[in-house]
Amino acid sequence: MADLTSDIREHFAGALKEVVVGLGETTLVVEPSRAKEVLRFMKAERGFNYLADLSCAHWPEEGRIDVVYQARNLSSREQVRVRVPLPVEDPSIDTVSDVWRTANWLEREVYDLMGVQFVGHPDLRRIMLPEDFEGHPLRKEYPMEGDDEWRNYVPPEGPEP
Amino acid sequence: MTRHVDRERLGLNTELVTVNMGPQHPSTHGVLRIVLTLDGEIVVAARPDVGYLHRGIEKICETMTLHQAIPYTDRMDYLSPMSNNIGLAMAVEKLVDFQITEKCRVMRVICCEMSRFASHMLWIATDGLDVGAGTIYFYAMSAREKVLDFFERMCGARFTVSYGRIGGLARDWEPGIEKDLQAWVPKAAAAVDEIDRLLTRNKIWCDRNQDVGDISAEDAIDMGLSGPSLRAAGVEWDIRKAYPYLGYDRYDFEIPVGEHGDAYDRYLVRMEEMRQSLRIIEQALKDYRPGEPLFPTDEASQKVFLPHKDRVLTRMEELIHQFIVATEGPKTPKGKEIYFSIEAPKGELGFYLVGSGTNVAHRCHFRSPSFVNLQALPMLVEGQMVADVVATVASLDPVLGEVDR
Repeated sequence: MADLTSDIREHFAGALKEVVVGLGETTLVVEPSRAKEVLRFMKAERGFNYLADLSCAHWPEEGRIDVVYQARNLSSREQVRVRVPLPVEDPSIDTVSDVWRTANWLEREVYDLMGVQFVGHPDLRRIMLPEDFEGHPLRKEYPMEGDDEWRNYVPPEGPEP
Repeated sequence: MTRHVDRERLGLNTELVTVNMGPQHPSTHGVLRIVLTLDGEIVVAARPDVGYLHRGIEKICETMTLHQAIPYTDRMDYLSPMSNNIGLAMAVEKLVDFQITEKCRVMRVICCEMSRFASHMLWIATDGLDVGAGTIYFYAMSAREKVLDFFERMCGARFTVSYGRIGGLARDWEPGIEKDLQAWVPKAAAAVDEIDRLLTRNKIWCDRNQDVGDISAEDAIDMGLSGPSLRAAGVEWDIRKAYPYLGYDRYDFEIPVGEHGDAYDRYLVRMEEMRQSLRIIEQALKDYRPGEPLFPTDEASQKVFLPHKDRVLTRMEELIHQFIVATEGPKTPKGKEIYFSIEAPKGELGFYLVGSGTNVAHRCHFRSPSFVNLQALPMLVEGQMVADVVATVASLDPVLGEVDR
């Protein structure tokens, strides 16, 4: 794992912001503009051929949205998490669906529920929610009970029709 | 196998037709909608449309304590709720660093493998029904019923069990259940053999499944397939072997691997997995010690693990601990994140949890195997006959509760 981080530091100067090791897992925090290059390098040169998961987390106090990749090397069983912090005002990042095809739907899910724009994605549509849905429910400011006209709905008085 | 039609030679003038399959189609195993573009009977393009069953489970789980989130995981893959419960419990245990007892570990292994057996039995039942082997349904469902009977004895529920607890399980097994389990294993193996005799060399079954929905190993890895679908493509990958959890490395079992990656190989892999599950259960039952406590008994654990039920009902202190543990649950470390995955019956079930400093997770993401596997569907069916779409969807074994979450 140490040589992976030193390789990334060597090839992509300034791309690696931080390396977090904890609870038996390694997390690389990567600059958004360089994330795709780093991930492509990891797949092509270091054999991370399997993208186990692509997810996201919203941190409203810090004003950022993290996009999180779980890359895995099936032959050496190495597993690395790559976390890319994006500004909440304009969360956009290059797609990795041309690096791992499995990222296609996973990115659509993050776009749908968290509102992250994946630049260059071939088919960036909502996947879970209807196409005319407004808002992104997994953001922390989105109310639990929904944000549409049924919010705070009070049924009319009198007997049911 | 791609079938090409030389339209010009045959003098046929066909045009493309768009057909909407689902979301109420009986063989889509739930509310899956596939928009098919057909040239005659050949699928030119397929576009799966999911989300009809989206309930926002991730959002809901981020507003409640982790103990309260457990019943929601039942409703993801509702055909193997045991694996989901126990998977979430183990992910939380990794995040908050809990050590479970040896007895709990053995019970979890047995529950997970019974759940795999039950899930695969339901799969073979409905797959048989989809491709016209209706008899199988009754054999497989009656074999599955036996497992659900055991689940009922273990936790009171047959279907949505909610049996996993953080640091343990909901309750101890009744005395003598291990003898019944021992007696059940050979009967279950006989049920598998019976289905094997009915299907494996059956001409119609082979014709409907061989060379249908095939995928190469490279494509399967690139598409992120997991579970039996990945192994059928010839990739020897099983989380239980790769990252052993629950002491799976102590048990002697094999990973079945296919060759062609078609629907028939997926069938063979699942059949063998059921036999291997029974092998694991047999070995795990030898480790089961009925008299031992389910939760740790040392002084330090009393305030973080659920106390034993008998003591809760007879002692004041344990009653208080039970109340605190059940209503508050463990505090997650702020900013710490983990990704933990188990080999669920459908494939890799992953949990991405981020701690918040309170007893509610800041982020609770479920990587569901069916969602990722279903993504490969267009690749599997394009160029095949429309009837093969049914066989391919069935062989992928998607559960829409888990796809949509």
